Amino acid sequence: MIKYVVHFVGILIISAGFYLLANLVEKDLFLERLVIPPPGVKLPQWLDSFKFWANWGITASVGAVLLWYLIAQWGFKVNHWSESGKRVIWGLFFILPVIVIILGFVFTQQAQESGWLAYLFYILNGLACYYLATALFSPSSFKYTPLWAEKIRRW
Amino acid sequence: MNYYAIGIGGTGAKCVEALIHFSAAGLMPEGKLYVLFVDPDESNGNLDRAKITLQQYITCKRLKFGKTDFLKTMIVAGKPNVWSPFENETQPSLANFFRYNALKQNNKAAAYLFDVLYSPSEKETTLEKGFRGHPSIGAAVMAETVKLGQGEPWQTFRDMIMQDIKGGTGAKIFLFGSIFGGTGASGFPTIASLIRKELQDLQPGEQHQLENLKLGGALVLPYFSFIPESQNVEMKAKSEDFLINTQGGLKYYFQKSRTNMYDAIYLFGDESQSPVSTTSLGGNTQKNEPHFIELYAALSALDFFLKENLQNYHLTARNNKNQLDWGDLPDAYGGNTVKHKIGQLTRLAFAYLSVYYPVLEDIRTKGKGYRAPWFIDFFKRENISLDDAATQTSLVNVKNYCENFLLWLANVHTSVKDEKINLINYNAFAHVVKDDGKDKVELLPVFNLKAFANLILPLGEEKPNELSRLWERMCSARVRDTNAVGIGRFIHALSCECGLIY
Repeated sequence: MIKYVVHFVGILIISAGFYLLANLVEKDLFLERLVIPPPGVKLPQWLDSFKFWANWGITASVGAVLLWYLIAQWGFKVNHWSESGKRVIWGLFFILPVIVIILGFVFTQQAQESGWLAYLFYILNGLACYYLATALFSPSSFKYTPLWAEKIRRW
Repeated sequence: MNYYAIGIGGTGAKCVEALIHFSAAGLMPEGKLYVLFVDPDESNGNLDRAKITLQQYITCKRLKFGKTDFLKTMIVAGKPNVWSPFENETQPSLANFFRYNALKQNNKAAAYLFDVLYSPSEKETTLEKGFRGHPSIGAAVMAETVKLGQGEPWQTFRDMIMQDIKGGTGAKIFLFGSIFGGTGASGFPTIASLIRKELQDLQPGEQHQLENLKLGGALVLPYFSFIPESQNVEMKAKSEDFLINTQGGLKYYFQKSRTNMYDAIYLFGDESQSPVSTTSLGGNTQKNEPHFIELYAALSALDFFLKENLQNYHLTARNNKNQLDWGDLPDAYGGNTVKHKIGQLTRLAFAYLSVYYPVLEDIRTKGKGYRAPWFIDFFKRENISLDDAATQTSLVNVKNYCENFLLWLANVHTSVKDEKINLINYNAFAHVVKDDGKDKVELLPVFNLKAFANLILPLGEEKPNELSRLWERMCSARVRDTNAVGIGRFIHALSCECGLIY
C-alpha cells in the first residue's frame, strides 16, 4: 500500500512541477517577454490561450500516466513471462497528450514573433510529463518499460 | 555441531537423497553435513540417483546465496562418496573374499565352519551387485573391511569426527539402512558398532569428550515388494523373504541389545508394501522410485540432529493408514516448519522452472531485458552476462536441481497406489505416463501456472495471479546480505519471496 502512495505522490509532484513550469516559468518568464502576438490580439489574451492549452496538455499527460499506472498495476498480470514488457502499450498512451498538443497547435494563433516557443513548450510539457512520471513511477513489474527508464530509476 | 549421514545400501541412499532435499529446503540445523554412501554395488540405480542429487546440490551450493533457506547447509561429500567393501576385488564373491580355497588347505576347521555357515551359492555368487538380500554375507564382509583408521573415505570421516568432538563442536552421526535387504541390514549394526569401538579408543583423559558424539539411525522395515517372477534362477533379494528377514533382524537387535550402541533409533515401515516392478539383481536397473517412507527417515535424522535429549526408541503413526497429510509428518521444529520450508522450496523450483529460467533464456537470445525488471537489478547492473559460459552453467545447474526436486516430490506422491499422499499438488507440474508398460512420472512441458498459490495441500482459496504477485515483488526485491553475490543474490531474493507465500 505504501508503495502505491509513494508512486501517486511522485506522479503528483511531477505533474505539479509541470503546471508550475508552464504557468510561472514558460508563460511569465519567457513568453510574456519574447512573444509578439498576431495583429488584433492582445498579449494577455494570447497568453491565456497558451495557458489553457498548456494546462490541458499537462492534464492529458497526467491522465495518461494514471491510466497507464492503473492498467499496468491492476490490469496486466505477469503469470506467464510473455505477459511482461508492454512497451507498445506504454507508447500508445503518448497519444493522449499528443492529441491535446495538436489541438494546442491548431487553436493557438500564430504569433508575429517567438510563437514557436509556445509550440515547443506544448510538446515539452505534454510529452516530458508523461515520460518522466512513467519512467520514475511505473508499477514495479513494468518499471523499466518506459524507454531508458533503467538509466534513471534506481528503486 | 557438525552432522554425518551414512546411507547404507539402496534404501539408505534413497533416505540420504530425501535428507539432501530437506537440506535444500533449509531444514537442517546450523553446521556442516558430511555425506557418505556405503554400497558394494556402485552402479545401483538408487544410489546413482542419490549421488546425482548430492552432486547437483554441491554444484549449486558453489553459488554465493548468503543467508537464505535455499541450500542452506554446507554438504561435504566423502571422497570417494561411495565406499564399497569390494573396491579392490574384480570378481568379488564370499569364497574369494575369505580365500576359501586356501582356507580348505591351510585351516580345514575354519573351512568347515565356513561350509556350515554359508551355502555353496552364497559362497560362489558374485557380489558386485550387492549382497543380494543376504545380510549374513554382508555382515561378514563389512566387519572385515570397514576400518575407520585406514583408507578413504573412513580416514577423513574419522579425523573430522575426532576434530569435532575434541574441538567441542560436537558431532552427530546418523545411519540409514533397511532391515530387510542385504547391504543395509548387514551394514547398519556393523558400521555403528565399528564407529563406537573406534571412537571410544581415546586417551583416558579425553573420554569425557565422547559426550560430544551422538550416534543415531533409521532402520527401515519393509515398505515395498517385488512383483514375483515366474522363473527364479539366481540368488537375489526376494520380497517374500522381507518379513522373515525383518523378524530375524528385529529379534537379533532385541536379544543382543544391538541398539545400545545407538543414542536414538527410528524404525519405519508401511503395511501396504507397494509393488515395485523392478526385480533387478542390482546395478543401474535397481532403481526404485522415491517413497514417502524416505520422508519419514529424513525427518527422523532431523529430529535426531535437532534434539538435545534423545529417546532411545521413537514411534510415530499416521492418523489414517491410507492417507498421509502434513499433520502425520513429525516436525522436530514444532509447528509447521517442515510444511512451510518444503512449500517454499517447491514454489521456488516451480517458479524458477516455469517463469524465471525461461525468461532469462529468452532475454539471452532476444534481448529486451526491460521486460524483466529483476533481470536489470540482479543481472545487468551487477554486470552478469547471460552469454557468459559460467553464468549459463550456474543457471542450468539450478534448473537441474529444481527439476530433480520436483520429480522427486511427484514420485513420492505416486509411490503408493492404494494410499493418498496429501502433501503437494504435484499435478500442477508433473504427470504419470506409460513408459514401456510401466508408470513413469515426468514433469509437464507446461506447468499449471494458476495452481502456484495452491501447490501445498490441502487446497485453499484460489489465487490464480499469485505468480504475478511474486513477479511484482521480485521486481522491487532488495538483498542486503553482502554475502549474497552474483546469481546467488537473485536466487536469494527468489527464495525469500517464495517464503512469504502462505
